[in-house]
Amino acid sequence: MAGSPGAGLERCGSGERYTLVAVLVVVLAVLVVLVVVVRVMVASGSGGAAIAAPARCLPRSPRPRAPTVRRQGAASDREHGSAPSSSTRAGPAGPRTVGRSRPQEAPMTATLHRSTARRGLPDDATLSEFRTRAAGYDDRNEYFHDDLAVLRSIGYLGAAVPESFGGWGLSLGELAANQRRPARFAITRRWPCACTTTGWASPSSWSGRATPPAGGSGQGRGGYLAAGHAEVGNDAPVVMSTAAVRGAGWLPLQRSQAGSVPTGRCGPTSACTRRCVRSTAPRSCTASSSGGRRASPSCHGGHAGHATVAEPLRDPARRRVRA
Amino acid sequence: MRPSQSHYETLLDAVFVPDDRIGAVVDAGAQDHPFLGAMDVRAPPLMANVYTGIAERR
Repeated sequence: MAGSPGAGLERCGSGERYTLVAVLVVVLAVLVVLVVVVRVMVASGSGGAAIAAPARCLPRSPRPRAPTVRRQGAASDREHGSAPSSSTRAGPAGPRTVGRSRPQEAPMTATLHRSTARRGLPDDATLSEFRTRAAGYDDRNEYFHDDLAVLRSIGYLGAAVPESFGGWGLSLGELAANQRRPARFAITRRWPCACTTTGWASPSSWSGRATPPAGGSGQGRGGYLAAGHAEVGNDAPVVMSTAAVRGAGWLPLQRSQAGSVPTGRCGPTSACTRRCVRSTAPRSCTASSSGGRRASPSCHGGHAGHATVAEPLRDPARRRVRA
Repeated sequence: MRPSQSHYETLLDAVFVPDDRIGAVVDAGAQDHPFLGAMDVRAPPLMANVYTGIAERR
């Protein structure tokens, strides 16, 4: 009977079958645990790279990008039709490599160009001119009038003004990021505060009081935003100014409020007269009262359409802001 | 008014600003006006990025 077909099964008792099944179950359980552990490690990234997991189980990782070396201002050069400038310029402080953004700044730069290149950002050639003048401004302690005129001509002073007001409509982030580029070009020290007033244009529009006249806001057209305020120890702008608050507006006065700066600029050819001639009250300034503390009421209010607020004069010792 | 530096004197010389171009007239000493708050929020990032750009000069 040893050669009968059922001899093997007869030797395999029920206890041995149970043992075999238990071993198989344990092996399967171990495999399941291993698979789970591998997936958890791959998902958490701890040591997952050393484990050859199936590709479909790997999480999507950003494809490593080569550093985008893009000359800043290239887009604006194309926009303005100017010739590409050299990558190295010799400025007052020596040659500097310009326009080559750092790799980690490439995304920011690309976004900046996409959103603002068409709006007339100063190109490399313009910024190079700024650089050549910066040292002179700082040495003579002068205001950067020429640079400001360029910025006005390209509309940069209205960068923060909403488009509905005639500006570029840059967000705070865009404008702040754009501040870096001119600063890399050895801009004069006056630049930071001047650009701060540029950024103030937007809250001025939010206030709802600066209603846009036909043609856009003053700053959108290149005007200048002024903020008159005094501080402890710095009240000269208020007591020596020839303009005073009256109601919700400002009045041009014939002389300073404190009488210390007798200007008397409201004459037939003065800036004040030209201002009012263009407004709806042509005789208001010439009819201003003496004493310097009051002006003709006709000069007050209702002169919409002339939005240019202020323009500093070339006076290094004492800048005066005229209309 | 300080478009350049705090120690400069800026005189409003024969300036006329129409009513509808005035953003806000704030009482002296008022620090909690929303208009001033909006300007104060915008000023530091703009100035800070300028100095960041200066620091990035090569």
